[in-house]
Amino acid sequence: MIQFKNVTLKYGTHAALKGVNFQLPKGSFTLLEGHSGAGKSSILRLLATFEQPTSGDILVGKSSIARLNRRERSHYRRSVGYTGFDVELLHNRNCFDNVALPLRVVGLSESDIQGRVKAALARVGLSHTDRMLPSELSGGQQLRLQIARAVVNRPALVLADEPTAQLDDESAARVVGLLEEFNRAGVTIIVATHEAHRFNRITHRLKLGEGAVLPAPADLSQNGGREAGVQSFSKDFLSKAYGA
Amino acid sequence: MRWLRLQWFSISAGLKLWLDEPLGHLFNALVLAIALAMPWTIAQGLSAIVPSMDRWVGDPEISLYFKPDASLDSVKTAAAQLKRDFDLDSVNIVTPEQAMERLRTQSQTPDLAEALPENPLPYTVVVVLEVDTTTNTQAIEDKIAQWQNFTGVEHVQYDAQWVRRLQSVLNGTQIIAVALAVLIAGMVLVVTFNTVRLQLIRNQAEVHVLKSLGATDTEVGRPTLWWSVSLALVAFGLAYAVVSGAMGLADDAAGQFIREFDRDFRFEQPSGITALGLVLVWVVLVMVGAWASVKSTVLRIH
Repeated sequence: MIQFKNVTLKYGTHAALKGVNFQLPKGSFTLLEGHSGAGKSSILRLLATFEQPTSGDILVGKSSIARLNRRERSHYRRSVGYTGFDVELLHNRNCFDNVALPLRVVGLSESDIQGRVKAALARVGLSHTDRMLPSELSGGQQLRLQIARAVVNRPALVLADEPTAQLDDESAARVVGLLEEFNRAGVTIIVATHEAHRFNRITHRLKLGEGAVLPAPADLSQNGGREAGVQSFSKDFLSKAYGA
Repeated sequence: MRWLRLQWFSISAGLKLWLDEPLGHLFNALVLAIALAMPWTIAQGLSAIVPSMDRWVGDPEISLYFKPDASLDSVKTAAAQLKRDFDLDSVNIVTPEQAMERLRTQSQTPDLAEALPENPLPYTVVVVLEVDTTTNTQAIEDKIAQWQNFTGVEHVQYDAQWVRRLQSVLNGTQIIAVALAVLIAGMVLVVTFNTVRLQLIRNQAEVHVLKSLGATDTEVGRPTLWWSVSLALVAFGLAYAVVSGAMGLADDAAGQFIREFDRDFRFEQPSGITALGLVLVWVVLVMVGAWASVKSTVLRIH
């Protein structure tokens, strides 16, 4: 379960979020909607611990992530996949090395890295690009590559900031399909988007305006939200979700 | 195993940094090499010169002036006793007549000798000391204090000024070398700090991505730290070449001149043990600068 408790985020005197409260169950597919500057990306950045709230608390599972120290934050980030403008691809490394980075960070063996990266690339339909540089890929392919990097570490939570922005319909549909596929396997997905119409498998929507949640989060799921925290995903569950 | 894999990943990532800007990194290494070569060359030169100083200046002479009424026999007895008690090889008696003759022929005021109504000069015993080093004036002064109380001796003369002056010059040179080394160590820290800072800023995007993916500050900084070790080793190699070259040139030029009066003299090449000790200190110094830079820069990047 993900819970925001009266979270405020200020940049100087400007408040990007003002006392935000919401709660999302494990395995949900949530859309964050709202105009530019409404606070969608701020919520993702807080969940990725790229920012710390000015006040309030954020719970992921049973743990508070609002006041982690630098080392704890690094370890927490290993359990979260993020795609968006904040974490670009490295254009001096080939696609394989880009996707392998999260695994090298945790010191996985080279054989494990080979297996997992190839599986992740295959999952996003980019098997043939492993020796290519990201700059040789189209915009849609680069986004899929980011998704491969976000999921290669088998995170329980994936955060996607405008994953369909500036993509043609076909590429956008492919990206959406990938996120929905991971959610179907049980991964919690939170997407910040201006293009809600592209998504089908939505369980929750958060409409934001001027840094506040407009209505209470609506539970749109068929089977209701799950209760367990994000950190308590079992290995079996993760294997099922990510394959190899 | 995981630890080793992380180290290996960091080492290979660190070495790959050389490919980003090989010429720039080589210049950085050159700056560090020059910084290291300066005090090393001075220290290497001093280590050749200081032990040879003894041979260049000769052994110190001490004159024991006896009382005017002392007889030749008593002086001879004292000289023999000196030779025996202090195990001296060279003890010469200078009679008043010989001293007067020297005054006439060798002094700059020969008229003075002619003007004297009678010979006022006493018997003198001239002792040549064989001490290990001219820089140890204390040993000489201890002997003088003993001889001052010798029977019949009125005055002991030892011109230690030149020894003291030499000692001061050598001490001064050594202090300058140490001060230069400390100054340059500080400079190396600053240069390394700044080089690593620029390196990290150049790779800001990569640092940012690595941190976003869950790398700790230590893991982000480790490749740069290994890179700094490789930079230190390249710089050390260059400095070693510079010092060896400088010693070779000095031996060809100044060494040949010095060998005209000291056949054993040689500007030595740096020894393996010295180089090994120095490389350890050097690498640690560079790593300290790099680590301080990593700590402060990585904090600012994310």
